[in-house]
Amino acid sequence: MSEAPIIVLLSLGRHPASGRARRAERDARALTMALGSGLSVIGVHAGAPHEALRDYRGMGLKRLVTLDVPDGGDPVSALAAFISSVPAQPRLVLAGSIAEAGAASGMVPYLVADALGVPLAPGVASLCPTQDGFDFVQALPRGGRRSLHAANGVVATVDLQGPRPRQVARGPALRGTIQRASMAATQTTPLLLPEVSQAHPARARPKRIGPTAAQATDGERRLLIDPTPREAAQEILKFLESERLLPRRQAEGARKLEETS
Amino acid sequence: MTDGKDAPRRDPRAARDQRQQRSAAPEPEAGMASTAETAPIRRADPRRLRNERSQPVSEAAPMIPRRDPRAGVRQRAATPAGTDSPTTASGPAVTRIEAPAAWCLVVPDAREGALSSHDRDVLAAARQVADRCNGGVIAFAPREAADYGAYGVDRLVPREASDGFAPERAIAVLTALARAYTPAHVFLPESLTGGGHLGRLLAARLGEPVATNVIRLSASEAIRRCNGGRTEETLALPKIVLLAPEAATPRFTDRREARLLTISADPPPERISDRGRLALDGSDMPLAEADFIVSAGVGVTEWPRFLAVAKALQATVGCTRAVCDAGHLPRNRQVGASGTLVDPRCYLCFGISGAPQHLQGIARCERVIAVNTDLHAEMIKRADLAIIADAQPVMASLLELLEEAPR
Repeated sequence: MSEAPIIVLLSLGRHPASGRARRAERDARALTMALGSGLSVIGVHAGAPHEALRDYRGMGLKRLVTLDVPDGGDPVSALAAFISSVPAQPRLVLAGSIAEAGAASGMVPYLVADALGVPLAPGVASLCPTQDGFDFVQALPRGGRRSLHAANGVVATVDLQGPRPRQVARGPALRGTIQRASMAATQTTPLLLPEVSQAHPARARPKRIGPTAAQATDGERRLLIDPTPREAAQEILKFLESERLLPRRQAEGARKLEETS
Repeated sequence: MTDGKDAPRRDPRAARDQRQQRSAAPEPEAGMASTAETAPIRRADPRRLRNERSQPVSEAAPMIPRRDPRAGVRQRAATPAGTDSPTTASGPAVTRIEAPAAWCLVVPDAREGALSSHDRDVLAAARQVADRCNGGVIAFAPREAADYGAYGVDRLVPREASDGFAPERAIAVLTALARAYTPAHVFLPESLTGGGHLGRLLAARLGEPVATNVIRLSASEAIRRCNGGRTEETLALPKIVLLAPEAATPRFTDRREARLLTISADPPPERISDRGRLALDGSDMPLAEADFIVSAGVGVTEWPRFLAVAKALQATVGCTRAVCDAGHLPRNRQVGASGTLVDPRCYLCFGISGAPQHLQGIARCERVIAVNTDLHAEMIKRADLAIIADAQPVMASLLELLEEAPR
């Protein structure tokens, strides 16, 4: 394994209904992305080895390492130390954007990137290894997609827009051992979480029904009563054009219609 | 008591005597059944008499016509976003501050040069926390995106309105602002590639504690969801706060100055290069991510026509629960509280009356176009462009216009 690997940070997830420990959805998507890239993959879990981690082996992960971090201890330094200790310098570290259990602040990938001194690309939907780095497709709100490029040595986080997670195969999941390693932590990295004064089960919060009275609506509201269908359609197209939502062909046509009407 | 002291004081005994004399000769009152013995005399209302006395009608001030608050909504002229409000001489009063006790820094996403409802919630949170500690609000946002003074922003640091991915530049400005103004709090929206990314980068670089996914906050505390959404934690409000959508409700605030601030920052080169946006078709997009949704309710009967309209507009198809229950569209197309919460820029709906659960689904939508036959439907009140007509012929005309467009 002399080629530079991809490291995937793995955590334990919980089943939403039963609470049973299982693979985390976003981490599984990150692992699927890594396994599909064609490069060698090492999965790392900062914590005690748990049987649910075998789900990741069942997805086709050959090498899974757990680091000895006490509960409530500092995972970031251990992870950074492990990543730096891999003989072939890893090209990419993938992580889920947020954990499913525990404090779930989403800070660990950022602190690991800071400790390693590398940039971070959030919300990656797909990747493609290139000569000197990676081409990422980043998922934007409202279905947008953006193309990014980063040189070797980058951390990327994956959210639910990532590839669908591979199935877990029971045989490979049960076979093999999970490698344990303990990293001598040279320094502790604070997780930057504020002190919690109390915690209780989540309450359902009422959702807003519409824009509140104080929300400024830029633009006027219009009401058309019983227009002809053609007038109604023209109004709709004019509105969509002003919001720049029409597909380009139709937008030009709509502008032509407006000039003639 | 503001009684007119000059008015003669009524003598209750004389009045009673008068009444008794009148009751001897009964006069039937209009509209009331009169009995043989006594006709009920309407008692004089002492307060009415007093008011009439103290305000002589001939010299009364002209009645100020009562302003109908709803009338303004329909007739308010469109004001282009970003124009500065008129100066204090003719416009609303502007509250100016020079050296407040504390500063709150707020960084809305302002994607595509406009504030989303999430951004407005974050601005409202910053203003509300600043009000509690007599502070001011500094916003780092594109200048043309909104009229920031109306949102209670005291200082505005202009940001480039481009939609590119340039976090190093933003972080350089934010660290410079943090050093110069030492804000008590920095508020950002919890969005994956926008405020959530900048906020976490800033926390890691500055070594400051950060509260993420905050759903409620006050001046001193924040409540955040963790543990996969199963647990809520209350914690002291830290320096950097990432707010989930709807964490704060925008309220009417005093208009503020939004004075332009310049800050010099020397950004390091971006290590992740932005290669540009990729063009995408809305038809294959999942509903939760869609940018433009065309939705059908029970008022739609011509289904092939509706699907053709959605296809021609390259929009994502949505529908109401009733339509899913009737089997016209699969359940993954349902928009609403128990279906999918959607966040498109524009929502075009045909034949939807607007049940509360459905309106919750589109609560964050910016623009709504509604075509419905019922003038009093809730969706008509929610819509920015409301058309009272039958959906079928409108869809047919829309298809005609869209097909004849490329010429």
